[in-house]
Amino acid sequence: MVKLTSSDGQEVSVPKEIACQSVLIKNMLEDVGEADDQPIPLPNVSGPILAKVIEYATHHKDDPPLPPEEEAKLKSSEDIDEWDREFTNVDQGTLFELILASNYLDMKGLLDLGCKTVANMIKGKTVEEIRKTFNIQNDFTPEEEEQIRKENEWCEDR
Amino acid sequence: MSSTTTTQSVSTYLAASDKHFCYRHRPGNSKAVTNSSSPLSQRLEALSAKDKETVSQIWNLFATAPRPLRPLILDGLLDNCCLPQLSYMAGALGPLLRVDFISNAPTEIAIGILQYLDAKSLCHAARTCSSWRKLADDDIIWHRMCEQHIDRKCKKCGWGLPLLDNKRRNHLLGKRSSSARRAEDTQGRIDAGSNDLAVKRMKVGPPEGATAVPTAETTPIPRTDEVATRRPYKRPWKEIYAERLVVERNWRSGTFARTELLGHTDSVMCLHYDESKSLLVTGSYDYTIRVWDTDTMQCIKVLTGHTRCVRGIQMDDNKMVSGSMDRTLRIWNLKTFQCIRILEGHAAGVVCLHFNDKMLASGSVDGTIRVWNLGAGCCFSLAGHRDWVNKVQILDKKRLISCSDDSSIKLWDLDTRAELRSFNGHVGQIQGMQAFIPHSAPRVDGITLPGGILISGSLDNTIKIWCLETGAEIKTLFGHVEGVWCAAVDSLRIISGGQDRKVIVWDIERGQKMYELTGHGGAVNCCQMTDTKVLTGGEDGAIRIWDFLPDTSFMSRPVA
Amino acid sequence: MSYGAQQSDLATTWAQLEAGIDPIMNKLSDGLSYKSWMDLYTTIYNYCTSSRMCNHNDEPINGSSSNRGANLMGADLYSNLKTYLKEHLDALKVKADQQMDEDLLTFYTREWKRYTTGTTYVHHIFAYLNRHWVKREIDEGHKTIYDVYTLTLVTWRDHFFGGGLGTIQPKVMDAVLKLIEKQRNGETIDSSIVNSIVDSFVSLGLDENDSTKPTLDVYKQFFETPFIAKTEEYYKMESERFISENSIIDYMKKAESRLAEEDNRVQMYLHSSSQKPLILCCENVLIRNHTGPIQEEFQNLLDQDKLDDLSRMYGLLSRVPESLEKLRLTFEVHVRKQGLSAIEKVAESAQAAPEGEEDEEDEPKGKLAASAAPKKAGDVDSKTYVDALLAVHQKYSSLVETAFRGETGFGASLDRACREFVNRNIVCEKSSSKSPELLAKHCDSLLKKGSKITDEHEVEEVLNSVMTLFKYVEDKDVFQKFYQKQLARRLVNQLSANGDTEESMINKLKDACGFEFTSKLQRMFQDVALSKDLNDQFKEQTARSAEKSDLPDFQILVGGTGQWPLNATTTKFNIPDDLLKTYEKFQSFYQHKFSGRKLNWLFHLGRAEIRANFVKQNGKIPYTFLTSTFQMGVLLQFNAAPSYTFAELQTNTSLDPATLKSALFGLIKSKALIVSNEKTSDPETRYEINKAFKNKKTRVKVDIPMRAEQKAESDETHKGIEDDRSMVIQAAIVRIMKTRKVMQNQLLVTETIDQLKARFRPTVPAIKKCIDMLLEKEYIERMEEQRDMFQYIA
Repeated sequence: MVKLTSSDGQEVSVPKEIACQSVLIKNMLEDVGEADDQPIPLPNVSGPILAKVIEYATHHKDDPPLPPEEEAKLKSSEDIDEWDREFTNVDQGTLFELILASNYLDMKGLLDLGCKTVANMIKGKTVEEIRKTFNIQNDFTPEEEEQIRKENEWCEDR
Repeated sequence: MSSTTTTQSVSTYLAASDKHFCYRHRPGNSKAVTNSSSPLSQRLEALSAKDKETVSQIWNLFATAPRPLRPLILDGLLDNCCLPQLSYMAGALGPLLRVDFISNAPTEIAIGILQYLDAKSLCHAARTCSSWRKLADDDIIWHRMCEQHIDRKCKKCGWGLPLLDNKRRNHLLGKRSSSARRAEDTQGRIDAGSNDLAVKRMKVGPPEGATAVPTAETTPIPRTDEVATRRPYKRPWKEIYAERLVVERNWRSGTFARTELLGHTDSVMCLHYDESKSLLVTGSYDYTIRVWDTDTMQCIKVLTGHTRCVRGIQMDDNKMVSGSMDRTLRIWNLKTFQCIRILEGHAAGVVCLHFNDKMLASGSVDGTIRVWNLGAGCCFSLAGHRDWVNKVQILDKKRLISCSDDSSIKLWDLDTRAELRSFNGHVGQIQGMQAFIPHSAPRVDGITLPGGILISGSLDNTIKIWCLETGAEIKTLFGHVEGVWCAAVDSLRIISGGQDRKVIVWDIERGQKMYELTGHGGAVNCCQMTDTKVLTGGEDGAIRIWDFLPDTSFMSRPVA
Repeated sequence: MSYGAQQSDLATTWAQLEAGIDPIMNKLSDGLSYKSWMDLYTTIYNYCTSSRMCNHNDEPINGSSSNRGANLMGADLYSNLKTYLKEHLDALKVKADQQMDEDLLTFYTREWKRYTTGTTYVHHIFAYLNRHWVKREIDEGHKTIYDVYTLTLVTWRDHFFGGGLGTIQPKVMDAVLKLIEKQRNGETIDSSIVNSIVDSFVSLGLDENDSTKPTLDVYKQFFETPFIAKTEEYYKMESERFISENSIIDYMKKAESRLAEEDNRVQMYLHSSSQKPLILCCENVLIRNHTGPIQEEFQNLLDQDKLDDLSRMYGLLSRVPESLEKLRLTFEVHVRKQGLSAIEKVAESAQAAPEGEEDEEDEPKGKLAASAAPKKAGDVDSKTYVDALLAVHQKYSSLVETAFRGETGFGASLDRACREFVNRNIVCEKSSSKSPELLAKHCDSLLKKGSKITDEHEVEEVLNSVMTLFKYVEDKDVFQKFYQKQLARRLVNQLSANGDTEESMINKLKDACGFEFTSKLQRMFQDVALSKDLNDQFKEQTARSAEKSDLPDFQILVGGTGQWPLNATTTKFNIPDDLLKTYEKFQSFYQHKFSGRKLNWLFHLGRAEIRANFVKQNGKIPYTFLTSTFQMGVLLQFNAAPSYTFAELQTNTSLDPATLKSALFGLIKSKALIVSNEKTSDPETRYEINKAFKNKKTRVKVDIPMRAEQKAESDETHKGIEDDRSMVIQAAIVRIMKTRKVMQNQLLVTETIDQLKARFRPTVPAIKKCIDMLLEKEYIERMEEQRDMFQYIA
């Protein structure tokens, strides 16, 4: 068991294999060694997010190791399973934090899941819809906007 | 305290005291905060001094409260809310909870998200705002898209895009000296995956960012001065992708520009087109060979010499070989257009020919195929067909495939000169045939053909698809009604021309007819297919070129 | 809790990092807390992610990249890290310059270890940089950007270690070599030092194109090459000195131990890839340079039969394959000499003591070697001969197995030598077919009743060893002919000791020479079996016809004329009345069974048992005479009258005088008949039956004069072989010409020899003679234009 401390001071005890799904923690334990009473500080991860991350790691603790980079890229963003879908069915703020945390902790599975979820939110939408979904400010001038539209015209099916 | 300073002090206060990144209040994320700040401060201004004080105090208290306390405070506040305020909250929260992932996440993550998108969504994303555009147009993402789609079938969406190799290369390289071309080739980036794509980039100049770190073992690559002074120019991958997508779309929808070349006085029996040189040569029943420039669409030379109709023709960089019913084969110099050699030996007219850098194979009316060694000048015969040999093709230097009026296609081994296999299945004379061996095994009807694909068109109105490796007949295509005279295949499509004056374009993967190209006044005798064009020659003496590449060239952004 | 992570300020960030990395690199033993580790990582993370968010303009940050949509942070940190490492190593270099030799090595290994451990930590801390920025750079093809750990290695290699001025590599290498030399001289050293040095060299080798793949370039260039050079020098000196001072045998021992030592050394601390070049170099220096003297020693060792030393020499020289050739030749010559001298000894002893006639027909009295022919001085006893050959073969065959580890080259030399002395030794000087003849005789003696060895297994073993010799015999057809004759004799006279052994021998011959060779022999066996059936059937038939009381017991052996090498009876013979009926009955029986076949009765080979009623042993039991058929014919005459003259006997039996004489000779010898005078073949000589016949045994074997024939037979056989061979050669020539149509003379001769060598070695004159015969018979003709070309006449 290892102790993890979030940025807001919450301490959680987690079994070692689950904690080591984060490559960051794994590397550090390899380097510094295990000191049972010392907690591992995670200054960039807040308490609630840490809880979610641990939830993910616990559910996926028996997953087979991920395939090498090249093949993984060819998978589509459609293949999210039920549990994962439920897991990421949260407000965008939490999702964002989750993505950042998984990037920080170097948990590829969770990071991919987050990215796929966001990609699915973009897919198939028109430009306005995308802006609305993510609260994006359109900072183009009308001329710029027209030029860019022309540039990207080719992708529209006729 | 002015209102602006209040709000400002709010954010700076936050910045000072709050050690952890908060999305909304990051210094860089001015938009999220500033958007609400101006109407907010205005509304504050509108209050009375006392109310202003109260409100600012409450805001300050909350802002300075440490993190762990905030939920408690909020709970208390919510407790005090009445329903209208709650519904107000519900409404206000929605928009606020939206996060602009792409702009705010670290670049690596943003790119990671965008990589899962398809081309259309990526383009839409590029149109949303400038920061999105910068990322969505990122070369790496489009490079990956290209790798996945060009010259192969993408597993995700099922589209395969043509390579479009030749035309581009020549167009941009122009008439440069060969040494410069070589230098460019060696300095083209080596991408992990597709070497063909490296050529596409037409990168001129040294790769950026590469400083030669001298180690004991390596020596710096010598560069010619000419190349080093050129400014670096790279075509963005997005542009490359876009171009090919449009071409492919045109192919699928049958959108093309058609040109007609007139000049022959009798039916055109054979043609050969070299896209990189924009040269087309055609042979006809009027005993002549015509050379056309497809850029200007003009006939630049008429070659005479044969005494009967010209049935087979092919050219390479320096020479052209033509075969005729007068039983001879003539070799012509492409620069001077002189006939440099006449090969005799066939006992009857030559119907077809094919050559590579070492050998020339010709099929004849008498059922034999002669294989000439171009260097030594000697030849040997392959016998086995019982009737006219209509088409021959040399495969990978060791094998030869031929089709004949005796309804069979035979595969020969050129070393042992023995027949390896016979493809029987047609019930009529086989007039058109082509074998094609691409890098990745083609799939027809879900069956993968490892050794390559062979197609044949026959006067029994059918086109058959065969597996080269096993000899099995995979599929039969029906569509022509009066006999098929010619057929051609590439990695994505099959075209065929028939007696019924139609040219039919078929999709290989599903084995179905896509559409027809009409316009010929007589039977379609010969055809050839490139990535963007279909060229056919017909009974009416005309040659038609169907071009699927749109005129507008793609330049997405000016060069830095 | 954390370092003010919001700054994207490079200077501050780097200062913090450096302050954190320093203790890791230099004072790791002090320990590292989670907190400090995590803080460093977080600093880098924040730096990389935060500053990007501040720069929302379209200017590219890395000036040179145009047209790229996204820029990642990290280049600055990377270059700062590089500088830091360089400085760190510079300091290290200063310290290193003050050290020498073994101290230097210890210093190097210690620092290496510390460096690598420290940089592993740094690598992990910079993981974020690795994951994103470095990866992106590598994807774009910038070859000089590596992940952090590789960067540290590269910096070590280029800056501290390798190749250029002021680097410590040469000194380190020097020290290592000195250390190894000490070990070679017998001192013990701390091999772990060398081990870690080797490890560090190996880790420093990096593939240019793929920085994650290690190569052995650095190791090879900086360690292996000088190491092997030094080794070569060292051993060269040592070996030359040693050879001049000691014997070859001792040198070989030393060389062997040195090679083993070097092998060990590789295991201990070198990289396994060095084994091949190292051993090769040692072999070169230790062995190849001295092959001459070693090879000369070989002969001595052979003469003295020193097995160990021979083994060792083989072991050493087999590493230099070309040097074995000379050994093989010496070996071959030696074996041949041994074989020839062994046979000479046999011949001499045969010369010295001509042995007396042996009586084959006597019951086995435990006498030695039952060989058939009467010994003339100079005739070699087949058993001694064969045993001598086998002894030599055995000895050197086991030598090849043990000392030369069964190497095929030596095996081949052995074969060649054996072939020589089996076929061309002093006994065979007169004719090359003596060997197979003697071999066949030996087999005969083993297979027939009365051989000394009765145990089946022993017989098998001996036969197996005979087969080994058989392989070497060149004139196999001679063997076949003799064997066939002897087999026939054994079968006819029922002298086989054991039917199974006979069969197994034939099988062995079939295995060695093919079906053709043994087909006749097989058929002879079949005939014996068939005859048994025939006999049974005949008996049955006569039993049914109820005339049996008249007929004597009768057994016949019917053989196909082609298979059995037996001559027809040369003389006429009157079948005695008593037997006539049987004769006729059997004749008709056989004709009935096999119409169209003609029976040739070989009376001269037949045996008979006659009960003598005229005289009884001890008055009770009548004697039974075991005679030949002719003798029986003679004796039966005496049923009618007690005495006859020679002329009468001749008339009655119709035998020719010579045969009659020999038949009578035997009867006289056994005292069954009394002859009136000495001139046995005088027509007037009278022969009387001996009423006073006495003998210890009831069954009296009458001497059958076959002996004298045997020597003649042997010569006859040889001649027969010549004729056979001529036929075979002619058949082969015709066969060759038929396929080739035209052929040159010389080629034809070579081809013929080639085709027939499995059976025997045709001599060139014999072939020429056959060609002439064929020319006469017009099977082939000479071509007009080229007189030495022949053409096949269809």
